[in-house]
Amino acid sequence: MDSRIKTPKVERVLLYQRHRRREYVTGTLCLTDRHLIFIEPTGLMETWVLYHHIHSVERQSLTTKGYPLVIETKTFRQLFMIIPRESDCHDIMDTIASFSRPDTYRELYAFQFTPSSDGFVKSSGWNLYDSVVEYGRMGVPNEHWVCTELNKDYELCETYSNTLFVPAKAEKSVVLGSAKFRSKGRLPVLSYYCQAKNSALCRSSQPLTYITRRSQEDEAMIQAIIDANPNSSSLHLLDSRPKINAVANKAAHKGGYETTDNYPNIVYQFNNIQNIHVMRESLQKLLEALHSPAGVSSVLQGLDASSWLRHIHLVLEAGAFIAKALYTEGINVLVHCSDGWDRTAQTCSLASLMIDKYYRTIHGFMILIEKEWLSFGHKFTIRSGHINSDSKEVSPIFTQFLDAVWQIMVQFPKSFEFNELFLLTIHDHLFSCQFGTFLGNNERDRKINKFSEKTYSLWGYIWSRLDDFTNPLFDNDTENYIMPKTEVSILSLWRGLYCCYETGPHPQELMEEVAGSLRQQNVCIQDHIKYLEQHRDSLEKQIKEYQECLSLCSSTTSTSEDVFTDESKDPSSSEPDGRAPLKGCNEKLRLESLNLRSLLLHVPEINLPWTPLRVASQCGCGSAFTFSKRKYHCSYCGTVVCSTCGSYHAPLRYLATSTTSHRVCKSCSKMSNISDQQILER
Amino acid sequence: MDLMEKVKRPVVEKVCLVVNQGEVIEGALCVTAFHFVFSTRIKAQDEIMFLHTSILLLERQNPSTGTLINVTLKDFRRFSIDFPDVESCNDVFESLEMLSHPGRIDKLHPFFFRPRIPPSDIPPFSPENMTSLFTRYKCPPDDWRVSDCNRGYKLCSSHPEEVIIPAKINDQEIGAVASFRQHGKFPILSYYNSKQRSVILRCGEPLCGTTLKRCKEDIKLLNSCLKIGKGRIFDIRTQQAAQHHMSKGGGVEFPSNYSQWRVEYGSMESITNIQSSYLKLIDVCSDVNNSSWYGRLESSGWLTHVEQLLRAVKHVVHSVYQEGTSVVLHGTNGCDGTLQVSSLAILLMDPQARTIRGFLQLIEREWLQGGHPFSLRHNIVSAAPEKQKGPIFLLFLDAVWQIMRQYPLSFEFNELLLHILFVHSYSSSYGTFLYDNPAERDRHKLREKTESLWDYILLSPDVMSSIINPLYSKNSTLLVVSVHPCSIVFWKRLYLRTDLSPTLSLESHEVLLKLKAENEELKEKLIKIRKELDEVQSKGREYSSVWS
Repeated sequence: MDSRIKTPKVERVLLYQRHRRREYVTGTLCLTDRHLIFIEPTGLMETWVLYHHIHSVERQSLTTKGYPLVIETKTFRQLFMIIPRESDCHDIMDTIASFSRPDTYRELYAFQFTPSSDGFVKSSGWNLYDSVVEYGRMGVPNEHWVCTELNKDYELCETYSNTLFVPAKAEKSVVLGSAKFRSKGRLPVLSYYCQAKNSALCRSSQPLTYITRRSQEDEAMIQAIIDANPNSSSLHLLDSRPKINAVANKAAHKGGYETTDNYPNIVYQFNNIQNIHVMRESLQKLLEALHSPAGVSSVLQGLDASSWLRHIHLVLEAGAFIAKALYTEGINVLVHCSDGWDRTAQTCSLASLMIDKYYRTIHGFMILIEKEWLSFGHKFTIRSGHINSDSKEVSPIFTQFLDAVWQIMVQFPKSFEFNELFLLTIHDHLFSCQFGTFLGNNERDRKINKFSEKTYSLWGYIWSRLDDFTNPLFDNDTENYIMPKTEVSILSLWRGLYCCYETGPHPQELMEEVAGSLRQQNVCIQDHIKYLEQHRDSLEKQIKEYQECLSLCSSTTSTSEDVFTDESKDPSSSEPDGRAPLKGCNEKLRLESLNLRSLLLHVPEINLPWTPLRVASQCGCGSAFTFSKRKYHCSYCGTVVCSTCGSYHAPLRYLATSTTSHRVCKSCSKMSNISDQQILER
Repeated sequence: MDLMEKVKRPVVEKVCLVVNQGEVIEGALCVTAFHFVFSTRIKAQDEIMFLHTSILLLERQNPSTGTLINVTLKDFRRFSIDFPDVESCNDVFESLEMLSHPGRIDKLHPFFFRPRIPPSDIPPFSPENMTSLFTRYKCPPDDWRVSDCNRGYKLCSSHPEEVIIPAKINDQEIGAVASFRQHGKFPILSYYNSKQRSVILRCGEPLCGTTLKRCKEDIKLLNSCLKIGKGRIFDIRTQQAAQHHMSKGGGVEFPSNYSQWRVEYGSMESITNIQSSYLKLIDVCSDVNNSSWYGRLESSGWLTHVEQLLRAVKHVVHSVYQEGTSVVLHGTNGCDGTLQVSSLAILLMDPQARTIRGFLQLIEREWLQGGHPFSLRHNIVSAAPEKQKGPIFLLFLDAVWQIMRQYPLSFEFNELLLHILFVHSYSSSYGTFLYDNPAERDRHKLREKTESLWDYILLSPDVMSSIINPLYSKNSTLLVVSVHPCSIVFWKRLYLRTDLSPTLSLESHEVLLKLKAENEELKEKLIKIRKELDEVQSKGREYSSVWS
């Protein structure tokens, strides 16, 4: 056993369901090398908490029942338990501390994780994103924009991807000079190209304009970006920081901002999005308000005092500003903040999401994250606190981005191919360290650590259970450009994320489950109808052929006995004499009849109606359905199963004509492998 | 037609309508005796029409010199009108001020409105009579009876003429009870649970006063509802409020007189407080750009009222449905909070109330027959004293919406029906919500003189298809409502109206309707093709048997 586990099992632990109401259960706490597991003696309830998900463990002062321990997870779960003995309490805290924040990547879950056999392969998902393909989709390279190899070995900028797109007009010296003049070498490069308007979205870090420094190359670079758009002679420069932060950076000789004196053709704007520290504290305040609130009034007060929605508003507003500039005005935009990997990633990806409906598909959204976040170097390891590092650098930037996406989804329920569960799953695995996708701080980092060889990709996992994440209301014909409202009053608290582990705030019945099942059933029936039609047609044809054959044979003198005597002989050795036509006729009649009988033998039937979702409270595997444990139907038997039990996909027997595979439960997946032929042979 | 005389200027051209913080539409404005119409004369979609009585607030910036009028409608729609000149602005403003409060109920549009209702096979609405309710609830005739003791509304104007009361109480005793209860509102059966044999009774407060008067018939009536164990008298007011009313001759049942009952108090606020919350809410909703918006929403206190109401309902339902303890509900008059609690409790317990027709029956029985003073509370004719105004019904609808959000598949209707009820309860061409109690409606012959909103809803296919919930499936179980503080959600679609279309829009409604229709169609097609296949198969079998 791992030496870090000092006490594998602690008995008589009290776990509070609702701390305020003093409802608790007594059970056993088990510590494994991955999870903390609380088991209630009746076996009805098990609570699993992944160590990597644990954000903090705090010991409170002794009570009569024992030593209270409060565990908070990065996925907004709060566990309050009481441990009878102090030494156990101490051991639990040590174990959690050593597992939840290890010192090296090697110790993370991803390096041990193997999916269950029916899952997916290690390589799947790792090659999802190819920048050349994605920029190609946008129509780049073209006469204005080209791919540069200057960052091939990350010599230009170590935190960027090694393939970058820059203005065709920008010469090598301009690119090199601009990189030198930008914080951490993060020069302005193309993030998104809006083909319909020839407008471009670029991103960078802040320029090093402190004192009176300037760079001809950087100024030329900006002019090259402006010139790359034939329809406009200016550029919106969006500094997503508050002005005071930009000025402070300048004063501290850490950066600065562009001025129209040196960059004459720009329109400068600050967007007042606060830095990572403010965001971290804001979310902390929000969570405090949501943990055991006294009433709706205290929730609203907390929501207001935390400013969380105000921050989301500013982020969305910046995204909307960019989208409008690119799409309706056709003007190029350059976005930066300080380093250009937090606020810039948020605003650029949100703008892309508003302009291009491809990013609102499941595939497109994964590409968007790959492009704006992973390839442009958002520091996932540091911001999420995967391994032991400075806690001041941890910040919910990506969480905030997902929240902003959710806010848009709520306003445009038909425009997204993915559902809320998709976002929640991504958020869960942002911290689970089960997949290698969000490990590392940039592309170079991931290459050095060989994550793609040694770990599985989250995208592979998601791609293997696409049905779980599909929005049944999705309408592919919706518009490319959507413009969400961004006022604080329109935004809502994302209960699905921040109250995920509470049962009350979620709807007791999920519209989406029923709509999804309806859509699934429609596809099944459609396929089944096609199958029946084909079956009917071939049966009719067979009857006709048999009829013809019968009338042909009945005009001859042969009896049915002849057929069987003929059968005993090898048909290939039949003598080429005058009896051949008759023998051939009988033989044909026999075959036609067999064909007819086989067609009559069995017509598999679709099992309707399916079990109503409402009556199912738990899956056959014993797990109870909840807000995050959704209900699905087996297309074959119509029973209600959870996503794990219903993760099998098989082309169904009764849908034999269809090549699409359908969601089935485990036992049906075994059955559906038996083909029609095998059934007939029995 | 005297209202027409108040129209000083029937048409004003080149008027600008300002909506959505800045969007400007130019068009012509028409003011008729009943309606406000704005049209661009180009697209029908740009036409805006509403009854003058829908106007909640009319504000003029710089009276006498300005050309701008700000209009807030009772359904939270909001816009400004910019006139080409001061004179037309003055004229329209004066007209609207008078026409939005015509002074007498029988001058309102319903008395002049004769819609063409298309012929339909659907039976028109008729209120469920007490005998059929009695049968549906499976009330045992040994314990309960239908009585017409209130014929001609002689005992109580805010009860229906027929009521269900304990079988052991004769009509004479009921008379004594009526004189002991506020406004004669003697206890009647509102809900019967046949499994637990427990009931909800509702009534007005007892007239105990400071002298703690008692009435033996009242005690007998309440006690005859009990089977075993104690009952629960739930005074929806706070204890202080209940005691305060003793000095006004009312109060609460004195425990020693009602030894078989346990008296409990709720936390329902007064109508005045709810009204002031509502006014603040309207303010908050017109200030959508405020970055402290949720703080302002909190200080309006609106959602706290919703939360308290749901808590009270949950408590009553738990008592009646789960514990099997009967509950007597009252506040002061038994016409406001009492009806909120009883109707919501029924909604959670009785699946029938969650169908379209059943819900309308519930509103008819608990609210209209139950004597909620709609005209007073909604200030229909502008004669209501400030203390009497209050959005009690809106608060109820909000609570229904909260339950629907938690159980979106258990209701046959969607939130559009709630929206229709909300709008029409304030201002309507139909007579349904006029006057303050069934006695007044009867006296003014509302049934003969006006059209029913219920028939408008049930008989028009367009309305029905927009309010139907395509994913509804009957849920016969109790709806357990969550009152977790995070479960109470602000009803944005209603309160934060940013467009001027008269109905709310549900983005996913069309898609869901289509999915459902497709499903029905496919199932039919499946049956058909199976039949065809069966025929071919039996034909095939005949042939194959010939051969063998």
